[in-house]
Amino acid sequence: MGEIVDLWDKIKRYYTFTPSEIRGLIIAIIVIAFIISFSEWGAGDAANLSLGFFNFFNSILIVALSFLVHISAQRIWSLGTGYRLEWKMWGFGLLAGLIVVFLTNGKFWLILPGGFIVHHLAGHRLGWFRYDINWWAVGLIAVMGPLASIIIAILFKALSAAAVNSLIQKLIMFNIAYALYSLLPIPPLDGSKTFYGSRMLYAFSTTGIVAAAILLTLNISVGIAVIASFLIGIVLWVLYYIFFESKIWHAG
Amino acid sequence: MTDFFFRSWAEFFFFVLMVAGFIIALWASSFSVFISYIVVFLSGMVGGRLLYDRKKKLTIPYYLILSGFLIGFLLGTLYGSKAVVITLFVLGILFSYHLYNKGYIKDLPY
Repeated sequence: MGEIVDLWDKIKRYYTFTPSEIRGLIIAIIVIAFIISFSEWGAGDAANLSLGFFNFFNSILIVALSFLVHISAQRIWSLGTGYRLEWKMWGFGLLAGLIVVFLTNGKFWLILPGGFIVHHLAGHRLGWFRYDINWWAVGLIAVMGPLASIIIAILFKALSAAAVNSLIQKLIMFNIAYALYSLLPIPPLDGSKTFYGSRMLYAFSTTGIVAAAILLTLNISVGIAVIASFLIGIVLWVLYYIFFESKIWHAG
Repeated sequence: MTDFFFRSWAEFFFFVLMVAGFIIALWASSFSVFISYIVVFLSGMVGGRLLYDRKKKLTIPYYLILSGFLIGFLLGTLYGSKAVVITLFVLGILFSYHLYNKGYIKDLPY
């Protein structure tokens, strides 16, 4: 109980987004919303501005919700482990996404909004290693983002069984794509931090989330998709250890 | 080989980006002139971010690399004005550099 009270206190103190973060988030949300709504500005060659703005506004809602969940999961986990997370947009990634969407006429989404840095809260890491930033802890914080995105996709997939809606379908597809892109081991994306934090964690999280992403797009039950992706993650994780990681460990 | 990259990395990337610029320009031209102009402006913005990152460091190789991209893009621009392409590329660089230099935008370079 004490840990929950402690975490709640840290959330109240440190959860707030800084003005620089808010500015970066607004830019990233607008750019990514433009990317995912690029092909919805009218039917065929005829542009329809009112329809385009309606779809763009819907995309802003989808992207804002997805970013909030993704970053909040990382932020809360980081506070729980005695770090303060600061999200920063990635200018190169956003510009690359814009160039690609123009070149592919909106057929390909490149979702590379940004990454995070962590600040050490030494006073909140009493009893743990607290002399520097810990790679393993940063890797765990990073993996919470894609995990939260895939959980959102799972929840809305379950919901879509009761109410079929194009907005919900788009939210599911966006969150799956966002989780997959976040897993790429390219700095400053989350995958790079997980990869350098722990290769074993990266192997498990990537295989599990990729399996979940594939199974969620198939026409099968959500429960089966979740259980199957977890099992696939474990099997591939063990196989990775047997065929790659154990050899590296023993070679050392 | 290592010695070649160590000494001539700027020339190497000049050539690579020239080819990339040529392919991107051909690709963009297949849609419309307007898309070519937007893409070259966005590419200029990428260049501006790169130059801002190198603000107080060695920049000459980066000018060479960016000019390689622009030459490739100009070669691949089949329709539209070459002067507009050059102007938009330079404007993209200046716009992006200004945004970062004045602190309107802060981001992670990598």
